[in-house]
Amino acid sequence: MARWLVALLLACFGGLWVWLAVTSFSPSPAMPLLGETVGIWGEPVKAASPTQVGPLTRTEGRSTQFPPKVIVTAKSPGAEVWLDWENKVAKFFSRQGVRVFHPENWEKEGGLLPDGLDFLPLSLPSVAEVVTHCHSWSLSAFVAVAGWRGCPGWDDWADKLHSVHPEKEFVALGVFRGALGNSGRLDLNQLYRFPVDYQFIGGRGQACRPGWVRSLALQVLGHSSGSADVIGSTRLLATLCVADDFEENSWLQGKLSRAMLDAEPWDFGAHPGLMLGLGTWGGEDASAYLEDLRAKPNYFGQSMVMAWCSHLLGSASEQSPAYEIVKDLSPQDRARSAANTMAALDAFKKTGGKDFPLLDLLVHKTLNENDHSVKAFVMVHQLLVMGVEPALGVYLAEELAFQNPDFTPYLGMAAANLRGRSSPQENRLFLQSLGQLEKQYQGIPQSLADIRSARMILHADG
Amino acid sequence: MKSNWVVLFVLLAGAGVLRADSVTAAPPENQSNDGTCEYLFAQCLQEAFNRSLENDRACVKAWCDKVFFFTFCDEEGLSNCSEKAEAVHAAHVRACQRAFADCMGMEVR
Repeated sequence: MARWLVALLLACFGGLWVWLAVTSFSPSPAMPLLGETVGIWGEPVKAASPTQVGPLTRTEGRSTQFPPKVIVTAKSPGAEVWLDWENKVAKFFSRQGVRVFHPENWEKEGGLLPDGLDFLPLSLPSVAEVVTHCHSWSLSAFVAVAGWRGCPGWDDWADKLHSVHPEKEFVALGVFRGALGNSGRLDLNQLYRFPVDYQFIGGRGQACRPGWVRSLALQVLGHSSGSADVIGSTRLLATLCVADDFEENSWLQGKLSRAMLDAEPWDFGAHPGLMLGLGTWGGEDASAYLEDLRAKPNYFGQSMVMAWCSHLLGSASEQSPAYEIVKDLSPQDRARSAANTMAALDAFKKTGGKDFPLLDLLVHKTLNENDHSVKAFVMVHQLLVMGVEPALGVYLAEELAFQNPDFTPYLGMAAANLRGRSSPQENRLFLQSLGQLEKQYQGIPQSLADIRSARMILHADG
Repeated sequence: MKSNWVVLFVLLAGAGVLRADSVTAAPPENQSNDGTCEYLFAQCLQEAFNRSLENDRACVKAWCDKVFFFTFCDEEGLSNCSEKAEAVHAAHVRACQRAFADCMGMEVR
């Protein structure tokens, strides 16, 4: 009798458990926590005491010399190339919403190109890797990719692109529509941040039009002839569009070589393109060069370089186990997103701030509106206020504000971080973004107030 | 029942936002040049952040249950609660900025 009673009780308990699990809640299996000290269910997330907080972190040691002096050592030893930073490079990139960095200690480091490197052919399929791997510089890559629509392999690339950046293909083709204009001629001045309501041009199954792509690419190349008014990566990637006859076309070869030489070191968009060529065709020399580059201490664009080196060389010596864990987090995992974000940034700090692929992944996830596994407010706070990576924090705050008016309060934090730095150009870029945001959020008083507040904070004399 | 707790939590958090001004509204005089305002701003932001973490945790407690090693959440409830918590955080950050502007003697139009 007692045995039956026990069995009945167990059955009731089991039934109740199943009923609770099935009818009351949507099951969401718990993901493993990244850190032992951080967790929602266990030990509370450790929040720093207000008394332990210092002044807002500022990045020290930025070069204040503009325009930067670039010494190209490979092809023309000793040559000095002076670029008009403000009007050409920074303006072009800021229109794309990309923060522009400039190198520290460039003169001490010397040129980026290895001696004796004279020919760097690139391959088309690898550009898909470029697009799917980097997020903030890839506008010019999109020009190349958009031209491949309908070409063999396009669907595979599109699937990959879409899985990593659902919003990017959308934007890329918007660029095309806007940049082409009525004349059908590519107007680089129209390459700027596009609103999210841009539509796809055509769809899958569109005819492959290599001639059309080549024509556009040549316009890009032609636009930049003789002067550095278009960033190197644009030229590099546009050149990729015409790579099918690259080997027969000495003019293009010269253009590419020139673009390589002019690849501005602060243009982190140029690095992946440069490395793509090196990694694909450069053999042992390229590997040695990449290793050498990776070993150099702090320089701007380092995060992209590191991410790219890891990708190309397949040796992510700086990569922490957290990368794989973060990569596997479910986009719908809201329950532990704050804890996981804290833990992931903690893991990043424990690598001495060198696990750039992890940081890159976290930024990707933060900017992906369909991914809730990373908390934006945690990212912004840790990067900006706690000083994990202030420059990236400013960029992230801007990007989030462009995505959603709910994020405009973070602009004030970014402004406070920028304030007092001796880089008027950097501040000017931020102000340009604020201007764009002001136009975008006309009619949303709260966001407008945030933007104006950020501007005031940046300008405050202190 | 859960909804009531969430509403209560949001209200309490909102009340916290209203208090935020008082956290930093009275900086020492004549210290806008020595980093005091920045310090208070950072302090205020840190408090906002800490409170947001608490609110986030409260949302999870309100809308999720842990059974053995699994977490079961009412996704819609959790999503709504998280959105409210983020809105509270935004309001708190705004309050910090206002206090910072006051401290620096700025008038945000």
